[in-house]
Formats: sequence, C-alpha cells, structure tokens
Amino acid sequence: MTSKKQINEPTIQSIVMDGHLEAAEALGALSAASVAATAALPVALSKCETESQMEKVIADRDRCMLAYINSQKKTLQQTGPLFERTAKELEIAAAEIKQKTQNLHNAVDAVNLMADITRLACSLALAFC
Amino acid sequence: MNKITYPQPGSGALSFRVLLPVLFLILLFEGCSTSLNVQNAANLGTTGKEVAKASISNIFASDCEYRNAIEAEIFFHSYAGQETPEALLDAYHDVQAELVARKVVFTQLSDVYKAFSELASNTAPTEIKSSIIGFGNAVNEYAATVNNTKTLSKSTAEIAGEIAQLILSARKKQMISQSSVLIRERLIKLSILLEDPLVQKQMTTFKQNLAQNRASAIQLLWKHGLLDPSPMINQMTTDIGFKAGSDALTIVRKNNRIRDGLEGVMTYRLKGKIEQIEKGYGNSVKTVRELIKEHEKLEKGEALTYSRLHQIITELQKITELLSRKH
Repeated sequence: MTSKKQINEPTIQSIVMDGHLEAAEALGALSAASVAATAALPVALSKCETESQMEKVIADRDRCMLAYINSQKKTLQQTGPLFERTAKELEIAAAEIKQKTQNLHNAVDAVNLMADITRLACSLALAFC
Repeated sequence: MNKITYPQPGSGALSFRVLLPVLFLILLFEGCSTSLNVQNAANLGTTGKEVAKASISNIFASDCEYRNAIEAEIFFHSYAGQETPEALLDAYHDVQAELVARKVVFTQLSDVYKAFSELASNTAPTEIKSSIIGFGNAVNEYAATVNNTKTLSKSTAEIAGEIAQLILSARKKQMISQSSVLIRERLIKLSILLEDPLVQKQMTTFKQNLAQNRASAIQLLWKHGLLDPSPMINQMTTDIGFKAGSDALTIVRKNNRIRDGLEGVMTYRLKGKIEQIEKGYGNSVKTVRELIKEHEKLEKGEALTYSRLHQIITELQKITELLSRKH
C-alpha cells in the first residue's frame, strides 16, 4: 500500500459561503484583518530596504484599516438610534424615580406647612384676644 | 358672636379609639409590601452605580487609549516617509465620536441608580412623625390661645405621627418596588442591546484596533533598540529580590537571545491586553444580567445575594486595571 504523498507546497484555499453573511460576522472579519495587518507592521517595516517598499507596506495595511473603519461607521448608523432610545428611556426612569422621592418630601412639607400656618394663625389670634 | 368650642383634653381617648382601626387598616395595607427590604434596595442602588462606572471603563475606549492609537498611526506613516493619513484619522474620529455618544446610556444608568438610592435612603417617613407631632403642638398652641384649652392629647398626636409614618413607609416601599420594575424593564432592553452580535463587534473591535496600533508602535520602537527594558526586568524579578543592573540595556542590545526573550514577554503582555477587551465586554453584559436577577429578588422580597454580582464587578475592575496599567 502506497503512503499518501505529502504536499508541502502552499495551497489555494477558498472560503465557502452559504450566501448569508451577517453584518456582525463581516465586521468581525474586517477587524481581524486590520488587526493582523497592523500587527505585521513592525516586522514588515523593519525588513523594508527602500522607501517605496515601506510605502507599499503602509498602503496595504491602510487599505485593510480603511475597509474596517468605513464598515464600522456604516454599521454604527444602524445601531446608534437604539442607544439613543435606551438612553432616553433611562433618563425618563431617573426623572420618574426622582419625582417619587419628591412626592415623599411633599407629604412632609405639606404637614410642616400646615403647622406653620397654624402657628401664624395663633399669632394672629393673639391680636384679637 | 359664637365662640368656637374645641374637644376637651380627655377626648384624646376618643381619638385613640377612632385611630386604632385606622392604624389596623394601615398595617394591613403595609403588609402587602412589607416583604421588600429597604436596606437591600439602598445597597442595590449603590451596586448599580458601580456596575455603570465599571462598564464605562470596560466598554469604551478612553481618551488616552484613543490618543495613543492616533499617535501610533501618525508614527507609522511618518516612519515610512508618508504624509499624515488625514482621511483615516477623520474616520477614526467619527467612529470614536459615535461610540463616545453611547456612553450616555451608562451615565443615565448611573443617574437612575443614584435616584433609586436616594429614594431608598429617603428619611421622609421618619420626618413626617415629628412633623405631625409638631403640627399637633401648633394646633394645641392655637387652641390654647383662642380657647385656653388643648385639643389633642400628647398620645393622640404621637399615634397620629406613627400612623403617618406607617403610611409614608408603606408608600415608600411601594415606590421602591415600582422603581425597581421600571429599572429592571430598562435593564432587560439594555441587556438585549448589548448582547446583539453587531453591537458587541462594534464595541470590541474598535478598542482592539486602537490597542493593536499602540502595540505595533511599541514593537517598532523596541526593534530599533529605543526602549529600556529595565522596568520589565525589575517586574519579572523584584519579588525575589533582584533588579536590573545598570548595564542591562547594553547587554540586551548585544545579546539576541535575551532580546528575543524580552520581546516574547512584551508581545505576550500586549496580546493579553487586546484579548482582555472582549472579556471585559462580556463581563459588563453579565453584570447587567445579574442586576436584573437582583431586581427580581428585591421585588419578590427575597434576600439579595450580591456575591455573584460583586465577583463579576471585581473581575471587571481587574480588567480595567489591567487595560490601564502602566507597565
């Protein structure tokens, strides 16, 4: 029986897609590419011997970063309103709770006010005694 | 002219008989919400504020992180003889501005818990008792002035004060319960929003890219022998009583093995920081979920177990510390 021949040469890989790529997955993939490109910069730049080589390295990395950051900007527009709405709802909740606390104080204030009014009435009554 | 007549001092006993059923009804009414523990609510308010604060540090890139990343970007381009990438920097700015605007959600969450704490620690029910007694005294003073009699006995005024305190305590508990529901409903929405895969990627990937920019700039500076590794050597050896020698930098520059070893540690630390970003986000989401559970327990009158929540908050604080630590 012949053993399988090992292939050490680089192979071409293809990404099989099911045709349904979620925005989150796409953004994650673009980010992974830009992080990897930036991570490779120190080694790549230090190996460059000419300025044109460095220009090429930087331009390739910038393409990855721009692809990620522009996609990020687009997706942020989708989810931004959800955060605005949540912030607004929390703001309303804070106001409602503050109002409840105020209502508790109002009860005490009302009684104190009544006491003050009665004392005032007392001083006025003295004038007629 | 008809003279106004007031009940005689002895009529306090009558008032007492009238007030007793009222007191009974109030106690019955209060019984509906006695299970809610006001102190637990106050503690939950404090914990909620801590969660909001820790989440801000873990989810959003700080001004310092952002500035470091932008400076790294400028450094790469200037290093390669390129002009400052204005378009790229503008895009960074837009993304950072949009993400920073989302911080308001957590600022509002902190405000909500501040209001909740204030409600729970509100002393109005105690205050009303002395106010009622004060009111009784004022009425008596008035009556004594116009009629030379007292209308309310001391005990009647005190009972009235007790009743007012009970009413307000019951009302306060009811308000706390209503507020807890209000907060919990919003926390559920926030949790769903934060768990959205797209939102999660938006929050974590930008922070990761900023961190990688800085990490790469540090590695490039290191490759050119510009960084002194003595503090790192100190950290690796201080606990057993060593420190970097005065000629450490010269030795490192001459010895490739030592340089590679230290570079390995540096890369490990930088990589670790980037990996912590996703963990920090995940923990922030967990704390929101735990808060929801604690609110449910509070509303049901069950004892609150903060151990899990505090464990996550501690983890969050550790990650924040790790991400902002100056090695």
